[in-house]
Amino acid sequence: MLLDAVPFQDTIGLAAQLIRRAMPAMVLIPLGAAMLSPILAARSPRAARFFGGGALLLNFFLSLLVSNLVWWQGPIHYHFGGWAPPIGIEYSVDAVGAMMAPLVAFFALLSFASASRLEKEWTPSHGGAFQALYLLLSAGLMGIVVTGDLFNLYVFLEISSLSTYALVAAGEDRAKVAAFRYLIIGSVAATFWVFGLGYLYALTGTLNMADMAERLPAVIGSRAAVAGLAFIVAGLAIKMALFPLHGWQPDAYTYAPPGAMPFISAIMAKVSAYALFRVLYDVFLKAGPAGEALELLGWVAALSILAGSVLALGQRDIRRMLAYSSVAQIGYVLLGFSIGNAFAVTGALLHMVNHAVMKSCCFAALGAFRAKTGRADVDGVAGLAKEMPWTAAAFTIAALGIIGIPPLCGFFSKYYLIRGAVQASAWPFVAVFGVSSVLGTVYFFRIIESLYLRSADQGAKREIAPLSVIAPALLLAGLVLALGVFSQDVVGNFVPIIVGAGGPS
Amino acid sequence: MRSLSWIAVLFTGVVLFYTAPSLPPIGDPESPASSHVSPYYIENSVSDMATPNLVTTVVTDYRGYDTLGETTVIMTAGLACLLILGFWTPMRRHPTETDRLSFGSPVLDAAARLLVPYILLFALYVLFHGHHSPGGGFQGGTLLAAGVILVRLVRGRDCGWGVDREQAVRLACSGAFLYYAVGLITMLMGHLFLDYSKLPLPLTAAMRRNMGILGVEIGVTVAVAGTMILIFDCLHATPHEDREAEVSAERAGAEGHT
Repeated sequence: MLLDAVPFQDTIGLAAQLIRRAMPAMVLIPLGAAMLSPILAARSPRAARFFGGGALLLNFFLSLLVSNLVWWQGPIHYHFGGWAPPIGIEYSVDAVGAMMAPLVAFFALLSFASASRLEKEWTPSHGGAFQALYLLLSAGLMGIVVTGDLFNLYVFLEISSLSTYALVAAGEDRAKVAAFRYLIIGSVAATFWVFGLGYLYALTGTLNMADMAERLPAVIGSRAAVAGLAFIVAGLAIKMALFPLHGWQPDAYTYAPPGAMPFISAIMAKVSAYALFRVLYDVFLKAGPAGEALELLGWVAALSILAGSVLALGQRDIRRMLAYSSVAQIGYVLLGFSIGNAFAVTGALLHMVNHAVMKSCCFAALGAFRAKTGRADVDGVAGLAKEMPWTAAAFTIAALGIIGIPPLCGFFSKYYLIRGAVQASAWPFVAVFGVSSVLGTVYFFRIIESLYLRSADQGAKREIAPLSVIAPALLLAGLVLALGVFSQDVVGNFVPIIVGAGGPS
Repeated sequence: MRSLSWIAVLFTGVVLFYTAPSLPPIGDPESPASSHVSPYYIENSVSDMATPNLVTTVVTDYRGYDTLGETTVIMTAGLACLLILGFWTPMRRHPTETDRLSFGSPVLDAAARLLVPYILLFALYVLFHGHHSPGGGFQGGTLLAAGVILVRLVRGRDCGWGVDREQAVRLACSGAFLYYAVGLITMLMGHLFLDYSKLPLPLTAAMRRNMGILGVEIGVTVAVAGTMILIFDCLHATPHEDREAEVSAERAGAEGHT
């Protein structure tokens, strides 16, 4: 009755208004759930798990609503405490943020099922700590995506980093050593970010990104501004695990608990890359040209691509190989940003999404292999394609996607990246893309060969892999296919808005 | 590897020394940091929230959302300790003789009995006086925890005084949630998150903000105190097997003496 009285247009307007007002809940829902889950878990661990899962589900739906609204009506801004920036803290979601937010929420939700299954294996004296830290990680990453304030970004970077250290340390064998190394180097990265931010604050007197972009041109030529940018880039490069700052990452990826792994491997580096995108394109490039800095970044990225690919060749442990492959793939994203024309930035943004889906599919499938055989090296998966045809197929699809075989999604992002490099006449970078694809083919085909062509070791132990581990791998493989087949729609509909909103023309 | 670390550290130092001189001088009233947003805080914080301590107003109201994040960071650190060290034996409600591993002496014991009430009282003073003088939730929470930890040190880890580890977890989380809840109330009433001036209190807008600040400071205090106690208890907990071994070794030692 009430709804009938309101004209349809007004209903839509009301809903849009409501979503605008609820936008920060994308961060606040997992944050609040994290605070409540240890309290709840002390009474009923089961109820706490449902509560956490429900919060992540709700968060995913909300992020979809917010994305749609942003694509439809433009950026959403939210001022905490009623203080307009630069006095207070602002959340601002533009088209690129609207692409990242559902991605973060989706992966948080997807690996929660296996993560909480893992938590059950721990003793109840944990008091829901694992789940709380998992929720804090998703809140922290989401906070980095939606914030419009550089110091607020740092706070959420800390929340996500701290919870990642703890989650990695909860893994097996040498996980605690890996987590400790990650803690040390991650703290160095955070310090660099604060150094850089301190410089920029001293020069501009503001922490708000949009406001800083306005005030930066007056001081952009000074030595301190260059140093500020350099510190911020160095800090984020550690978090992204670019070569030669990747030292923490292979161990962390290898020993982290399999439940949290698809989420961490898919999203951590991407969110750092996205933060770099914001700093470069929303702050520095709006303030003035930075061609030399971008070119330098391009060479760092190219080095990372080559070194990551070469190091991946030498690994017997598949987890370690995938980790080095990530070093190369995040280089693709950075190289796209640094080439900087519309094609390259399109390719880089697309590659963030595509690689997140492909790499986490690899890790999910590997988790299923491990659940069956207890091993994660190239010989350990020999002949598994006969026993686990679907999971093996999922792994193969994701691997082919990373290599860049059409019509899988990895092909399209590489296509745009290479087209951008050709347009910019950056021939060395075109060559880097080519060489890395060849190397990728080599290191992935070793595993595919082992899966399909070799016969299984007769005496090997076999257990039944639970559905909660296999299902995410299959779902993600489906996404790899779908993102590839419908790539034209993705690029045609969303990327012009994205590039028009945040990137170069 | 070690020499590489030295090179990295030295390089960072050189960059800092080379670039820092081109920053505006410290204390320069014309510098961007002192002329852009700071004047607003200085001129308006008394009229906006009836609170003369500028640090408190910036930390808990103008940039209050950051502080919610920082409180969460502290809670995260506590939960991380719980996850990594927490599978070790929880404290017992009714400790046996061997559980009271204190290094107390009559002097320490008397000193602690004398000090602890004043430490706890001072903690509350620091919390409630944060609007006017240096202090606030983080400092108050640390002092509260210091009182509890002092008793733990003197009377033994299982003295059964104060809060136990499970309660500390609950304190850490509910303190952070109290901060969150103050923001959530204004949001659910249809206003912006953490907009204390819209709190449902029969006061002026500035006093409502003042009360909002007090509310979140109490949240911070509880969260910090809970986390400190939690971390202390995680660090001195012993693994189950070690605990058994420790107890039997002590028994053997006691029998050997008699």
